[in-house]
Amino acid sequence: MQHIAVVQAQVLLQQEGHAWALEVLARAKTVAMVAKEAAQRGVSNEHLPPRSSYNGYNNSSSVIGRMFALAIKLGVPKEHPHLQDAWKLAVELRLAEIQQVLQAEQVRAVRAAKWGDRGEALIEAASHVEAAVQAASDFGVSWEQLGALANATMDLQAEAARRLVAGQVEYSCGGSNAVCEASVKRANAAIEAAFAAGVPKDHQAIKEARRLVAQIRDDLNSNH
Amino acid sequence: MTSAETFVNVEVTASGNKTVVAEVEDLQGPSLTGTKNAMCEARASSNCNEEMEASRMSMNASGDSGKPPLVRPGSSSSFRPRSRQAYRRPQAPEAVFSAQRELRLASSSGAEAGAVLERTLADIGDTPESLKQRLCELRRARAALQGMGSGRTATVCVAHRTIAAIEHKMQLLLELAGCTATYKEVALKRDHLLQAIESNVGGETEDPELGMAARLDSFFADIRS
Repeated sequence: MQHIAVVQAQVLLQQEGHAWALEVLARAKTVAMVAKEAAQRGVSNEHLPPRSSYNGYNNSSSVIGRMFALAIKLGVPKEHPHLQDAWKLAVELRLAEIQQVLQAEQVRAVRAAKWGDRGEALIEAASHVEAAVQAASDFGVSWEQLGALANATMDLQAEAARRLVAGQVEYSCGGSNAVCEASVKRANAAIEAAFAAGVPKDHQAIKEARRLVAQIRDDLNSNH
Repeated sequence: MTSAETFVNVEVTASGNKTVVAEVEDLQGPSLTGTKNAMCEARASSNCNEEMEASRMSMNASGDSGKPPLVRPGSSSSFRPRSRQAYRRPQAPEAVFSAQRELRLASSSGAEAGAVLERTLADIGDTPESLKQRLCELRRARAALQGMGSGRTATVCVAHRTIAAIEHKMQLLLELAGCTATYKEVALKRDHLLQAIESNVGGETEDPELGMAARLDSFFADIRS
């Protein structure tokens, strides 16, 4: 049998915890609605979001996450259904934010390619997306949910390697043996860097990059 | 526990006869648990020593099982050492007994100190206020008794334990009350706290330079004012 003061405190904790969970969920829904409207406005806007806003402290998901954390610290059980709903909302928002980051980086890479980029912009894009994925993982999003976005990072890395090798093909075309050998070395280094970043060896872009390296070697052999 | 401890010494002499010696060791401190209170009260009377002494002497004088007495009156061979025998505790004055009764009746319900301890441990409905009142009464009664030089009696010892238990329980209840009050206070600010978090949506990313600029702005504003 427990002391009446302890029982009263437990009842208070239960009642107030429910109130906290209810309020957090209501506000999380409001935040999500505002974020959705902002995202719809952003689609029609041709200006890309600044990179400083990635993984920001004030992202919608982070704000809901802080509300969630506050409720937990105040004794609301994690398993409370309203809190669980709020958390799911935060995770969905975080995934949407990473999707937005990925799209913005892909647009940047396409624009950079028009300006003659040889893969550097793609590597930078991949690093930003990877950082966003890591931040989401730290936030609490499971790797199962982040798998597709992690694969998109690999695609960016592989495409960066392919584009660099394609640039070397153009560079070495008609060049001396030394130029061709240097191009082969750079191309191989780019492919190795992609492997080091986790790109699978049977990736389509890597196969294409290897085919281009073989083409440079053929040119080198024909020069001999 | 009884406050008046009676030592019964059975001593075997060289001839194999037994001598029973009863000696009253302590006449102070009536029972704390209430089980032998009446007996202890009786023993606490001023002539208790004399009665026990007379009883002892008669036993020695008549001898055991009709045998001749082995201990003559005035002989000290079968008694405890002289130093201990010579020590005679002072007769408990009425004021001490009065203080002991006050200590036993310290709780408002008139329970004895031991009962107060049990009640303190078992009570699930007391409050810091009621415990504080009980504590004050117990402390006052204990201080009165200690002031009379009776600080080592069983009643006072149990009172010490009771006071410690009450203090600990009161501290726990006060901590709980403090936490509950703080929790209620935070609950009242729920809207304000959540609004403060929500208002950060879409704001600037935390940037040390921006923080520095805001700090300097505040500094210059203070200077102007």
